[in-house]
Formats: sequence, C-alpha cells, structure tokens
Amino acid sequence: MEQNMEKKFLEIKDLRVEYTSEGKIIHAVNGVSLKLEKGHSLGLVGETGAGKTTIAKSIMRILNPVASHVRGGEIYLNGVDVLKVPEAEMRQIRSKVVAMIFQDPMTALNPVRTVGDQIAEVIKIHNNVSVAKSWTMAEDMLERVGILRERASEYPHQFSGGMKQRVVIAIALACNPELLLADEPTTALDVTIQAQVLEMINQLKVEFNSSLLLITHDLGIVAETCDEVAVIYAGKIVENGPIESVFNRPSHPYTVGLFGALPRLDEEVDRLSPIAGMPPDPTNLPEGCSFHPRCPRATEQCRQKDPQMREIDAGHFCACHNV
Amino acid sequence: MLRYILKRLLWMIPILVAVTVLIFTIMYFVPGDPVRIMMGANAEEAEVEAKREALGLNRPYYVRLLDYLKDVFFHFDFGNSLVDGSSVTKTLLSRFPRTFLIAVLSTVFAACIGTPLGITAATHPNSLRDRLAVFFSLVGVSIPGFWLALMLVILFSLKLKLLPSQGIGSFAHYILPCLSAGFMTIALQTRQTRSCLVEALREDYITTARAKGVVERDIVYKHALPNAAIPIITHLCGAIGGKMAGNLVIENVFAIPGIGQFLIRSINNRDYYGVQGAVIFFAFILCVMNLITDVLYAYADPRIKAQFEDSSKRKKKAEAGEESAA
Repeated sequence: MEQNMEKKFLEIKDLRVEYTSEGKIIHAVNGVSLKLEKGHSLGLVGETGAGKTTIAKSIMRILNPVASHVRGGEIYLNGVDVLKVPEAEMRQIRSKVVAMIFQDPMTALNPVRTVGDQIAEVIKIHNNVSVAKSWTMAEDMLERVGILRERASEYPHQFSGGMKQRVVIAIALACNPELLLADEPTTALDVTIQAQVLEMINQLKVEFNSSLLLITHDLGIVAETCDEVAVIYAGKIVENGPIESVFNRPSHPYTVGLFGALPRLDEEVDRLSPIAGMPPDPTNLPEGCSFHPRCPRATEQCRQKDPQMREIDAGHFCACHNV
Repeated sequence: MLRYILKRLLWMIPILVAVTVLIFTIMYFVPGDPVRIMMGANAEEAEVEAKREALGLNRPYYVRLLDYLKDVFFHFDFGNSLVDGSSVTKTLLSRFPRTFLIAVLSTVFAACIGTPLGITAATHPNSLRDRLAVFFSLVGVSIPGFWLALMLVILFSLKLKLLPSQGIGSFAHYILPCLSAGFMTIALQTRQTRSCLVEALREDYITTARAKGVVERDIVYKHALPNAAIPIITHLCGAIGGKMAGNLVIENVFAIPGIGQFLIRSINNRDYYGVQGAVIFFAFILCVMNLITDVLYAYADPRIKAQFEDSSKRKKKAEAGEESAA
C-alpha cells in the first residue's frame, strides 16, 4: 500500500476545466491525466493557451472562482483528492504540500508589503512560530535564494525582475513543499538570469527532495531539468514519457513539429520550420483529434475520432491514430 | 518628504495669485452695483457717487487689482465688507470652523458606512448584498442633497421632534446637516471601494496570497485593501475639500452661519470683497486638501514614497555633481 502511495504521489485523472467568458465556454483542459512520482520532475510543454497554467492552478485550487469551473476529474495528492477537500483543509495543503512559482514576478508580489513580510507570512501560516522567528526564517530563505538578508525590509519595486523571481521562489519554497509547480519560471527573465534561476530551482529541488512540475514552452529547459515530459495541445496530453524516449523518438506530429521549430546548431538550415496554422479556438474545438487541421498526416479517421493514448514504448505514450 | 511638502506649499502661491486675479476680474465685470444695492433704489445719484468714491470703487481696474493683491498677499487682509464694513478675514475665520466641522463629520460618517458596504459588495460579487449595495449607491447618487435635507427635517424635526431643524448651538444641530451632506458621499464611497477592491482582488499577487494558504479575510484586509487605498483616499480627501467649498445649499437650508452661507449673501449683495475673500479661501483649502492627499499617498504606497524621496535625492546628487565640477 505504501509502495503504491509512493508511486502515485501526484495523479491527475481525466481533469476537465472550463472558463466562461462573455457567455462563451472556453474548454481549457479537456481530460488530462498525469502521474508524477515522488522526487521526480515532469515537464509540461505546450503553446500559450494550451491549458498548462490551468492544470497547475487546479492542483492548488486557486482558479478564479467566478470564471472557471472544474467540470470533472480527480487530482490525487498523497492519495487525497484535493478537488474534494474542504477549503480550510486546502489552505493547509497550499504551500505546505504543494507550492507554486508564478510566471510573472513583476505582478506576483504585493507592491505595498515588504518582501520579508511576504515570505514571513507563509512561514507563519504553516509553522507554529512567533512573528520574530518567522521574520528570521524569511531572512534565511532570502539568503538561500541569493539575496542579502538586509534587503528583507525592502519593497518589491526596489528589486530587479530576476531578484523578484528569486523572492517568488523563496515564498514557494519557504515551507519545504513536497510538490513544486513552476509556471514558466523563466519566461519573464532574460537569458543570463534564466540559467541562474533554473539552476537554483534544480538545487533547491534536490535539497528539499521535492517533486517538480515544470510548465514551459521551452524544450531546452525541459531537457536540462526534467525526468519526464508531457506535451499538451488544446487542453489534452498528446504525448508523454521519459525524457530520453520522447526526445529520441518524438512520435506525435505535434511533438515532431515542436522539435522542428527549434533552431539547431549542428545542421545548416535557412529557415526554421514552424507548425503551420494557429492553435484552435478553445471555444470551438475541432471534431476528432484537435490537431488535425494543422497535422501534415491527418486522415479521415483523425477528423472523426479523437485518438486515445497508447503505449508506444516503455512508459512512452502517444495519442495519434497514425503512430 | 519635507522638501516635497515645502515645494508644494511654494507652488500654491502662483495658483492662489491666479485665482485672485481671475475672481477679481470676474467680479469687476459682473453687472450690478453694490453701492446702489446698499443705499436702496431711492437714493440720490450724487450720494451714491460719493459713496463709490469713498469706497475707492471709482479707481481704474488695474489700480484696484494691484491694491487688492498687495492687501491679500502681504497683509493677509481680504478687505472690508461693502455691506457692513466688517473685516472679511475675521468673518471667514470665525465661520470656517462650522463649515469645516460639517465637511469632516459628514465625510467621516460616509467613510464609516460606505467603506464596509463597498467591501461586502466586492467580496461577494453578484450576490444579493452586492446588488443591494449597487442599488443603494445608485439611489444615493440620484437624490439631491437639498431635497434629502428637507425630508430629514420633516421627519426628525417636525414629526418626531428629535432634532433641531436649523441653526447651531449644540452637537445635535449638526446631525441633520451632516447626514444630508454625507448621504451622497456614502453612495460614492461604496462605489469607489467596491470597484477598487474588485480590481485589486483580480491581481496576480492575490493569487499568490491564495497559493500561500492565506485566509480569505486576510486576503481582503491585508493584501487587497491596502492596494485599493489610493483611489479611496483620493475620494475621501476630495469629498472633504468639495464639501468645504460646496455646502452652500446645506448651510442655507439649515441656516448654519458657515462660509457657504456668507458667500451666497455676498453674491446677492454684490459684496466684491466678501465673494473674492470666500473664493480665494476655498481655493486655498482645496490646495491644502490636495497636498494632504498626496502626502497620504506616500504612506499608502511605498512606490510613491520612493518617488518623492528619489527626486530629492537625485537633485542633491545633481547639486553635489555641479559643485564638484565647479
């Protein structure tokens, strides 16, 4: 039993999330299933609007309560379905068991409170410590992410973008979460800072033995950081598996397209080959396989029937009729 | 910060000079003759002319203007009333506390009721409470103050005989004026708080706070509200300033000897010095209220405070640079 729990540290089953906006229903996540083992890291790759952030926010249950609705599915964390626990219990899980690093450090910090205060707050909530102690722990945390402890009493606007992202990371890691959701943690940063931040996430992950769900659209980052990768398209996982297997043998046409759109140093190519067309309108998804209008290998079957995930290699799954 | 306040105080001088020139010029061209009003329609033309001469009203425009500017800005003297010869400065100062009291009390009253209403509305969007609050604020904005004042007098003074209907004397005299002056402000304050808080609650840092496991109460009061504070402060300070200058109607309905009532009386009598004095005084009060608003901003938002401090630091640096260059 324990073995089993260990294996299914995080398990998402058939998650469906919708947004309503101006009377239209946006199908953001359409039956996503994922598994993540303790201490492992999974890269979730996909285009903007593919539903990556929505999945992460569903795990934390911090989706906008007015506009979004979880229409179905289960999210097991340590064997508990977090979609069913009461709100008060959920508050205990947030940041203690699962924490999130947000995409945009410029807006993720409260501009009128000091960074020390914002880190100390989360420590105070989840640990039974005094205010003074939580402040010292917040300063320690700042030091850990490479910021001088004296700067704890400064405000977010006094920090650069990269420094703010470090503060965001410090908040996420302050309570040693078992699962870390990193939502494009480097998108808002320039390249030199990106490397530093990634390295820091990696280090801290090892140090705290956390699992990591890394959301990104950058396959390079996934290759550096993750053990497994899941490719998501229009709110569905189209391919997932161990990183070597997927990188060596990308099978779904979309994954192949993603790799084709990467610039390579070892080949002489005049132009990158982008994936033709645009991501589908999430209010009106195509019938059958969502990717078929852009797929070079689409057949009549693709237009009618939504493909199911099939194992094509050890632990390597792909949802395509033609693989 | 001190430097900033000082700078703003100095800036007030050109503004007040401009207001003075403007109101003086307007009053110069306003039709109607104060001396004729004072002496009555049956007075002899020669007598009226003599009186005009004695009051200095026959001197050319620019001579009178320069004289007036000198009096106001060097002697802080707004001249004497053309009606009864009393000092306008003294009248303004003695009437000011009543106007001020009504403005502040009614705004505080509005803040105490409007802010919680706005918070409830914002934290329960589209609920019954929200709809009621929005409805109430719509009603509040639509009711004219003088009508509400008269209705309140009918109810509380005539029918219930609980409160005095006019005049001053005790604290009870101020209740009805403050209620009628504050009612619209409650409505506006509810609206302002609601919209700012709804806006703030949508921000990313609120999601961060939720992800930290912060309880909903703290999310509203510790995270969202401080960020919504600036427009709320602006509205409240503006309300105090506006009421100070705009309670003419309420002061007349309740016969409160404040500055508004004095201004109306002066206008009716073409009492140049009274009107000019009151208008310049209002301009001064509004300038001061704006300054207070801006200083409060600095306490509400560290970014604005940093701007104030930065600009003085930068100047100091520039000065130091110039010195070293020299």
